[in-house]
Amino acid sequence: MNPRMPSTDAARSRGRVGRALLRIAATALAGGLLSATMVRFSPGFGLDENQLDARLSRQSQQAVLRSHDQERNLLRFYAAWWKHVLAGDLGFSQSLNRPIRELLADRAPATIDLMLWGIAGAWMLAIVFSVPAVVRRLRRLAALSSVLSGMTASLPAAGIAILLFRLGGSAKWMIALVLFPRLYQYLRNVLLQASGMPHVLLARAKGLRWQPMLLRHVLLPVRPQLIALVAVSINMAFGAAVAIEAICDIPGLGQLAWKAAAARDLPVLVVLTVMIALVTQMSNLVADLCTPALRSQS
Amino acid sequence: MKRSLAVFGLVCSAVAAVPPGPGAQYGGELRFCLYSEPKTFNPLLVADTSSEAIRYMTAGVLIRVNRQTQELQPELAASWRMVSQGRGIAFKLRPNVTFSDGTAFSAEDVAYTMRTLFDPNLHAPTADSFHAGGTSVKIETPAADEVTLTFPTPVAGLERLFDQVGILSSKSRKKEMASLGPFYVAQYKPGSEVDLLRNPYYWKRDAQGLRLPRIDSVRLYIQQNRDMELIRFQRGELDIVNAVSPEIFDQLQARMPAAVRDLGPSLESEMMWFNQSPKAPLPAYKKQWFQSREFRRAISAAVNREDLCRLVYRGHARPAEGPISPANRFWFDAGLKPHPYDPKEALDRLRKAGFRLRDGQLYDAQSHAVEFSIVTNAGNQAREMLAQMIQQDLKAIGIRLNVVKLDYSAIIDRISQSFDYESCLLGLTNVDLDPDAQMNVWLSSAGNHQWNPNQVSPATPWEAEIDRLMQAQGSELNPAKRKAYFDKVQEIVSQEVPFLYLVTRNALVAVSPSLQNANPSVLRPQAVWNIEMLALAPEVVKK
Repeated sequence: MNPRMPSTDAARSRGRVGRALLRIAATALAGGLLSATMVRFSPGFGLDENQLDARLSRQSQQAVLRSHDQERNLLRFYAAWWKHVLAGDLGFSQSLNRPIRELLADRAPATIDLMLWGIAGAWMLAIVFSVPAVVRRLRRLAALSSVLSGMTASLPAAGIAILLFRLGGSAKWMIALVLFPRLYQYLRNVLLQASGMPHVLLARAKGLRWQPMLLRHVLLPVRPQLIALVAVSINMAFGAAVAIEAICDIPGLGQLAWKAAAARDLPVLVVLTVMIALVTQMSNLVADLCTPALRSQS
Repeated sequence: MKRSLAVFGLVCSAVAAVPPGPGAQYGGELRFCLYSEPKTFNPLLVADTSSEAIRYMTAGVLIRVNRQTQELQPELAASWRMVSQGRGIAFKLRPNVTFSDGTAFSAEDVAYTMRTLFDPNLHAPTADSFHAGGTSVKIETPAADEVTLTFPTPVAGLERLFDQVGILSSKSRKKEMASLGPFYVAQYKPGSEVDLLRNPYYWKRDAQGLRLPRIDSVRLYIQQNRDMELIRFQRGELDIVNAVSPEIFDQLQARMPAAVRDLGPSLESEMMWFNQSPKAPLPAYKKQWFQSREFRRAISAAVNREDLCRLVYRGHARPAEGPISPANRFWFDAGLKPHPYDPKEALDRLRKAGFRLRDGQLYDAQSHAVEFSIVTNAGNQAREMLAQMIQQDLKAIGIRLNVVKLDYSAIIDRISQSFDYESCLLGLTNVDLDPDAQMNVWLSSAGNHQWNPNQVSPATPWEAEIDRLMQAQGSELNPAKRKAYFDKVQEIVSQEVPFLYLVTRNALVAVSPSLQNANPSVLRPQAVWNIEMLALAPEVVKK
């Protein structure tokens, strides 16, 4: 029997959500400002490659420079940017000559598709390599998995992308391979811990078949950790997507981030930073909210 | 009026529906890559290469520079003549021409286009090429098929500037998307592709009077990755690769020898220069080196250009003579020769300038070891290799060169704002054949006078002389006299070496054997300059 009153639980839960939302808003604000500061003070900010166009007159060159005037005072730019964002206007990309809202709408589907398939593939690989090795104690598979995970972990995302690209592999598998070693390591450790619990050892000693043991006694208790891992894999997948989309010319948000960084496109980079901060924090919040409920169920 | 327009529309539709004649292959989709996102579809605002390629295929112009002969040819202007002692130009327009949306073309469209182009707030390279100062251009339409433009002063090479001016419709609701060229933009998927469709009202016919263009559509993939482009070309997914790197050219030559073509010298060259700006935050002794003509000549003599061509470009390049490539038939100065590789001459010149070589290290007169850095853009493999080879060449005369690779934005910052660099290695692309377009490079007061920009008065007598010669060629209408002035500029540049021209790259293209009538040019847009004449083989069309 639960000694706590349901209304107290609900109030606590609301308080937790409220604090989390405040934290998310603060992170988005700080993240956006940090990103804006880094772009504003990076070499080449406020310049345009068109300035080297020999046909441009001095007046036109100055007009190109002046087009970034509103971005030079960082705090003023950032305050004005938030004001516009709250009014539904995400701003305009000078380097791509299009409204940022349109850029996001056009490119988000490609990235979401890439990330979903990549995350699914990475989880599939991590489960295939970790579960039998841990639960059924297959030492050779465990050794092979460790070697594979070590190899992929030692390669940067761009390296994996180039390698797979040369072999004609799909970009979705590139994301999967980038995520695989991180997921595999964590999943393996969680499963090892769970399968070493006394009740699992007892069940094993009693000769319980491995499938029900895995489902009821190993996976069920570690659901909170697994959900947290899903949230983390979303962030990792976006990080990998930037390099992979840039290398494979996939018109997604990652490629947009890459191009915006190269062009020092301040409004685009601030939008993307705030967006990533929000997605990261929201996925963490969902994982946090799920954890106590699942723990109490377990 | 309405009736005549309706009749005109019917006639155009009938012409558009003319069936292809025997012997001509019609239909199919041409596919190739753009290497960056097009920034605009407005022909007047074009500044980037991708938008320029789209403008070429979609926009109608009054006069075209033939990419093969480099001569002017009439397009929407049936004829033209210079008026007002070279200050103006009068066009007689081609009759029965219609925009892609069915609206008729008239002198009013030309006037509207020119008024929009010369709007002082536009700040487009195309407008700036006229050096017209914006508001003072007089535009008259004495008849429905006649337009006269009068400029305040004579404009050198005025006619060829109209090659870049895509005519807009003054009446169409589609604004700049209504086109007079062989194709129109049908769909744009940002980051992915641009689809062009055949303009059903295109006015041009082939020698047999058959409609053009022959191809129904063009799919332009936006793809920066050249390796992927190569794979797709080999798979038959692309018909053209417009800018093949020497490495890929050799790979393709081994596998598909019929597909690759080395067209010889292009308009693109590689060059380096020293920072001579007084604002540069460099030690005084280094500024003194860079301002020394003997020092610059010595460096030029120490660079083995033949080796650069052979090793970096696998023989698909030639030592550069100067700012004008031999591909530019009229303006190339045949009397100019590339600086020969001669380390002995380099050391002699350095000794003359007070430098001394001790134990394999070069020192200046104040015993400073000669060492400087060169910035170049990271990610450009050929340029990185060039820098490394120059490093080796300079080591042989006791100079230590440090190669600094920066991203493009950081380089622009250094060479145009902070001036915090010692020397720079970059490429040069002459979009325009006429050197008048380089006015903002050669005038000492100009912002793109890279070695020492924005001078209040010329820092050296030879820069003053270049200023005088450039102004003279810009106000002269006689082409032969203009050429003589600019030849003199090229000679001064060769003597004083503010820019060290290194190599002129060859134009390398790959064209699918299934593409008929392909006759690539070294000028942009290389393999598609005659796009209306291109046709796909019957087996490809059927697919």
